[in-house]
Amino acid sequence: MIFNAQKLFVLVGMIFVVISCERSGEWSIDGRQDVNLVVHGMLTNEFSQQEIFLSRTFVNLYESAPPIIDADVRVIANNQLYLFVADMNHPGRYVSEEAFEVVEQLDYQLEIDWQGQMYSATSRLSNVLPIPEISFNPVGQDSFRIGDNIVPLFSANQQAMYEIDIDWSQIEPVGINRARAIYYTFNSVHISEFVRPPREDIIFPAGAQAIVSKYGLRDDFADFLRSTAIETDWNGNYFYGNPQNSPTNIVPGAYGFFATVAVLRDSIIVE
Amino acid sequence: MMLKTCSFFLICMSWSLLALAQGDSRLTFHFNDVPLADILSEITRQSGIYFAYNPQVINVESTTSFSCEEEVAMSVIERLCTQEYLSSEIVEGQVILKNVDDDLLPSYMLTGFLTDSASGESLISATVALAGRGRGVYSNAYGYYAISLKRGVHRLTFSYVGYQDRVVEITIKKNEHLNLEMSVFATGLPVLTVKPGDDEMSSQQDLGKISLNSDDLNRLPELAGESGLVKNLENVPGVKQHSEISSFFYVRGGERDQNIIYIDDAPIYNPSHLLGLSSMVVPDFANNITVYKSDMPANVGDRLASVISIRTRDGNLNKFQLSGALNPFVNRVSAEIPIFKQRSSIFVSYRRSAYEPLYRQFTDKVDFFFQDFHFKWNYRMNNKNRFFITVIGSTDNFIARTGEVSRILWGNFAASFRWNRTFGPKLFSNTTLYTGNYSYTVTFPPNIWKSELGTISLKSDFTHYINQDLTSNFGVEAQGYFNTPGQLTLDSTTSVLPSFTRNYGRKLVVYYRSNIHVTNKLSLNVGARLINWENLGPMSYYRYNDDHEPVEKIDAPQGTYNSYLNVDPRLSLTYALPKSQFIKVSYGIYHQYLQLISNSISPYTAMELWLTASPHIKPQQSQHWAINYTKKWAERAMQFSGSAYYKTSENQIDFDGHSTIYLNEFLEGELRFGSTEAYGVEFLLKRDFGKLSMELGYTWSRVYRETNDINNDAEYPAFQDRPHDVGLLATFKASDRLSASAYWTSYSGSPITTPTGFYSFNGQTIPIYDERHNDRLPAYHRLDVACRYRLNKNVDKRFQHSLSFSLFNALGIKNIYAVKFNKIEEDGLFPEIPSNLLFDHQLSPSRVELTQFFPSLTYKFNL
Repeated sequence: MIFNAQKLFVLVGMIFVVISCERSGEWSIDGRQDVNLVVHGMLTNEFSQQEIFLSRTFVNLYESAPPIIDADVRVIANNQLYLFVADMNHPGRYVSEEAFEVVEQLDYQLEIDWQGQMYSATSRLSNVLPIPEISFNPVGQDSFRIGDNIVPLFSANQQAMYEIDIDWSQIEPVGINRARAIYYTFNSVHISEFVRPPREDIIFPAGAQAIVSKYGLRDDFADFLRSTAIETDWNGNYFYGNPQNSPTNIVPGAYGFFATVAVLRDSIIVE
Repeated sequence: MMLKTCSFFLICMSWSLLALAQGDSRLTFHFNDVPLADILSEITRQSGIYFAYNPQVINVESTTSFSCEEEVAMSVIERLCTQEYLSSEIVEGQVILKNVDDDLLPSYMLTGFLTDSASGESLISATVALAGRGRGVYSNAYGYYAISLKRGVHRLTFSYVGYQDRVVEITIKKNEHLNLEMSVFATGLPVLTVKPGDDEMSSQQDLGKISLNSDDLNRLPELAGESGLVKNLENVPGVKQHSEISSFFYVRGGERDQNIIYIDDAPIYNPSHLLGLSSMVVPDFANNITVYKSDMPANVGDRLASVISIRTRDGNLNKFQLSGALNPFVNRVSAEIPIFKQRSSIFVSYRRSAYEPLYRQFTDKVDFFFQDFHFKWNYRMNNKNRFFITVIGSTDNFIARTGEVSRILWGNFAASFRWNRTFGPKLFSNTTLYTGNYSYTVTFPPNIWKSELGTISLKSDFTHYINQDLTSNFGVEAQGYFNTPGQLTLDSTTSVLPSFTRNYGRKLVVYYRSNIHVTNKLSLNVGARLINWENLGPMSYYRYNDDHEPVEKIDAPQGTYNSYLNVDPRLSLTYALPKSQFIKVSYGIYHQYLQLISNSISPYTAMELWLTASPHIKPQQSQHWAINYTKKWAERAMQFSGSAYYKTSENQIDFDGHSTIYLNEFLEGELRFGSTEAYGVEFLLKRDFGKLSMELGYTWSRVYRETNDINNDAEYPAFQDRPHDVGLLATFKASDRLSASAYWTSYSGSPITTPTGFYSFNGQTIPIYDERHNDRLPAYHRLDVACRYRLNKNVDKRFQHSLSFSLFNALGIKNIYAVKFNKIEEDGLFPEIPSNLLFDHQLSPSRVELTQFFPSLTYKFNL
């Protein structure tokens, strides 16, 4: 139902094409000079070297996020200490010294020591339900499009994030031949989900390989992701509310989120 | 004094001795309904007594009845004088007749209905002024007037904007009923007329209460061929539109749900079409529009910011009339059908959008259109009883035929039955039974989402014209409310969703107000509105803690489970200063029991929800001080109005930016409550230079909010905080057939929240915000022009038709209504959201602009 609803709302939006338009242009931002820690941490229940990304806030929209390379990062669970070390090849990426998997019923505490300040966050593993059938939207006879919603927008039973990596380099060795898109299923409905703004159109050929990763979300992480979606993916349509900072579980005074998530992966050939 | 100056003084022969002797004569005569002069002549004939009087003071042509049988002449004269409220004095043998002192004269009521001579339409807010007395009254919403007059001869001036004055000399000896027809000044194209009216009367027009007719609204250039009510209110100081394509408006710092529009007493909860692009209220269908921005009378209300009362046209009582308007976007037709001449008529209209050509070339699988239907029947049974039925329906349809037919349907329905009744000359009543309903349905078979709000109400309103110094208005109203904040009917495969039940509430209102003329210059309007609000069970609701989390579910049984009792006092003092100047001070407390639940700040109406007051949602409350000043220069056809106001409001609702409005069982927990402070000054200058008329309005105002858990509890400017707002309307009547108008508006940009920094997460750039509304949109400017040409040369012909051409935003100014920071620039294309997160994207700010250069051509006819 919600998938159909989105289609109809997009059609509704056609009215406004004739009476309004959006253009790129300059806008002076009253930038705040304080630099804050940003944490992007998603530990999974897969046995692997887990990774955490640290960066700094920035003022200029044209900048890239400045990586943090001088932090001490560790995760503690059940008195077990997991140390993370900076990956010199990928500034801002911290990798656990040893492989481990997140297990159920344990609290995982992240601790980051950066510039004399200790930051921390706690998370407990979510559960994940099976991946539903994913069907890509065809474009013409033998192509598909990235960007349209291909997962349920709403579910009362499971909030989830889908990371879909598509690779068609075997078919088109030159040019853009890989893509990653993120989709969400939440247990609440926001008008911006339905009337989403125009998206970058990426067409890929039939026969591409897609790796679908489904992350089950606990409520606090889902709230964070929903909030970031409202500020990014869903922002700029015909209905919008007052902007607001996304929540965080990093204390004190940092941005981002630390979560432990259960994941399922599947590989499909898009046809 | 009068006797000395009157050139028509009648001097009778001075036979004083004879007169005295003849005073003992015995007279016999019987007159029935004859002029007083005939009776005096008969006395003179039988007794030889002569009378002297000033015919400009004593109307001897007024008829009366008198009898005597062998009665002494002086006794007859004394009795006649007593009957006719005259005094007599014998001077040099003549009986000199004078009026007795005014204070000794009894008062009678002159009542009646004022109507248009051609159509029979009621004339609302027409002036009935008593020459030389500084007094007058206005006709009410049904064209009824009642004025208290002393016995005697009076010269009354009936006036109405756009109509020829009628001066009526009337002798009042008893309660009289006078229905009066008035004729328009000149037919043809509407022009601005600054008509100062009767300078001696207290001004009813000030910036707190503005009365408009369809011509006032039609003077403004049109957008897409339609001059909608809301768009045309932007010329009223203190009324701010969200933006030019929106039907949202803000009055004196109030929120958009703090205004209510009544059409023939029935509330319209969403007066817009096409998500706000078009208004469902067409000015041509309105007889009168009254906008209350302050000093709302006690008989209307329960909104904090404004009440807009629209009286629709009754329909021509004398002849069949067909009219319509055709343009590329919207077409409408209306018919006025007399049923019984001068007694009963029907007004019926239909309007439908015609946007199909705009999208047909892209797809044939969708349809969107709106339509309105309007029906009104009136029956004037007699001078005491009148009946009216109004039915209004409107729908917006979005239909997609991809697979099974899906549909979004917005709809308003309003209906009212009104009964006017006069009980004697002093008591006028109106009883109204009305209903108003707004709902939308989203259908994706077999799933249906529905939200609705409805009201049914019975109201009896009485106006008691006690005497010339005191008029009282009182009444009682019982209202029932039902609303469903969102009900989803699902197919069996969809996940389980929270269930929502229909909420019921009722409101009982008792009100009283008095208009007291304390002196000739000072009048006092005082009243109060007693409101009892009740929520009705059975109902389940939640109690929330300070962190807005539900802590207890309460199952209320059948009956009242929550109530609020409030008294809203209203007070205003009007003082007439010398030289046609008026000053009015007003104060009022207002409560509101119904609120729009929307965290959207976009110009478009979305699928909004309404909630009533509840245990968690206390009624919104506002205190409003205002001072109004008006000066008229009749000789220059100029009027200046100024107003200053101060408002504080409590229990104001705000939202977290990311709050969940839909399908949320804990919706009330998403609400944040706070206060608002608003103040400002407004000015309006009107002048008529003959062919050229101008209206210049300016508003300086500020609005600040303070809400718990929003903006760190710190004060922030509200979205409608636009300090400066100026509008200039010029109308030029080049000839009887051709007129042109131009409207310029400029105002400060609205506050917006923009990022103060960014961070990156999962390949996305996420904004960081510091304070709410830390930034402001650029100032807004727009020029609209219009030209109207009457096609037929002969204005008296039955068939009238005209062409209107309008150019909206003629200078093509790019006004911004939103700024975004999440899109990538695409050459030759609109900015887009990046989809592929494997690659870095260069985001750039993007600015959303509204209409530039929107022309329209409309053909109107009247048959």
